[in-house]
Amino acid sequence: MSIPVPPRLRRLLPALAGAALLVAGCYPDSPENAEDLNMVVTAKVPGTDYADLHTFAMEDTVIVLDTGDGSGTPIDPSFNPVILQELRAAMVAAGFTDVTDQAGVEPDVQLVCGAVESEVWYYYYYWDYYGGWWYPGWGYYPPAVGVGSFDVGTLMWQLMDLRGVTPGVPDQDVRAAWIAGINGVLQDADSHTEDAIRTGIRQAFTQSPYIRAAAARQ
Amino acid sequence: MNRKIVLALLLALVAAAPAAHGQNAFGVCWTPALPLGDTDSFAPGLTGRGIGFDWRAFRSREFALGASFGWSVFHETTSGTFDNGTVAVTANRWNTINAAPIYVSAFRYGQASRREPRWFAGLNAGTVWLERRTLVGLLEFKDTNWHLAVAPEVGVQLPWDAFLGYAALRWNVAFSAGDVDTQQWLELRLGFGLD
Repeated sequence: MSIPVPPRLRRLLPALAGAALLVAGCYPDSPENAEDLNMVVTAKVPGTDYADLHTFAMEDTVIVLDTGDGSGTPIDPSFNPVILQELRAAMVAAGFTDVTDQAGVEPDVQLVCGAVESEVWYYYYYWDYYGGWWYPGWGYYPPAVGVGSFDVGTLMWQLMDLRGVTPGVPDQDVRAAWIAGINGVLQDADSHTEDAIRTGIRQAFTQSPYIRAAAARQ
Repeated sequence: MNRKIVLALLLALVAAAPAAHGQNAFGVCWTPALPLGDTDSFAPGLTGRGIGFDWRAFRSREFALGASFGWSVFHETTSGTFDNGTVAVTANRWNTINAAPIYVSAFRYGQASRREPRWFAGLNAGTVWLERRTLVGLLEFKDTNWHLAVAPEVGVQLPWDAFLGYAALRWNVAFSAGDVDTQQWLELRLGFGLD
């Protein structure tokens, strides 16, 4: 059974259908805010013996990461205590003994961390309907290019393997045992940023089960 | 190279069409599609984002040459931890395929009047511009290639006074190119025109 369609409407239907489909865009459901871009990355270093780690030490400093062109902007220093506190707590929770303040005790690993307030630019395309589909020459504006920017914030830390390193001897090779980083720590409110820092650090340890002190493995 | 071949075929087709003194027909269709094989692994699930344009020059009542191009978008958003044993990443991940086939085609039509549905079957061949893009957090991985492609198709041309012009099923097979394996999707073509 067929439905009669007035010829005039019938001529419009193809264009209507086409235009409606184009609204979907090339990249549907793309990231729309900084939170969408949150990322926790961890990497183990091949050749590292993770089974025999016991102690750690860390400095009470969050260095400014170098963005390559020397333009790295430090994140708000008020977040530094949160970063250091959470990292220390996560290491202890993983079974490591903190020997930072124990003179004469050499740690197995040294935790160093840095952060930078990086700005990320992204591009998106959209089709903007201006209405009046009956208007002669009706249609859509050409695809426009929009630009958005996020201050995402990046936090990175490493465990430097100090086993086999002789204290006081300069120019020794010190290998990293674990590299971890978080993108998207900066949020729209300080409390949210603190939450993002804590959540990101915990996730980094969760997805790296090999970062466990020997005592915690038993 | 693929583009040159397709463009040459299209030009030859356009040049040959008027000589046929036949009827030219144009159609626009919505092409919801189901990804298959590697395409389904990358961006699974039925997609409604697709559009197609068809042009056919009837050399006789039962035979038409034509051209077709379109655009389909396959997309999946996931989040979780992706671990390759050395590097682990926890993030949102957006997988998107943009595929734009450009085909020349030949179709055989069944005998019937314009007041009756007319079955047709044919083969499309040409190239597909295909972009596979993965966005993980702030990292973007993109692979764009021109794939040689074929697309067998069966369909029905509906009576001239029907609401819909035509409906067809097309199996797109875009052969491997660059680092991208063969991509496949089955699309339903619901169109206006072609009559």
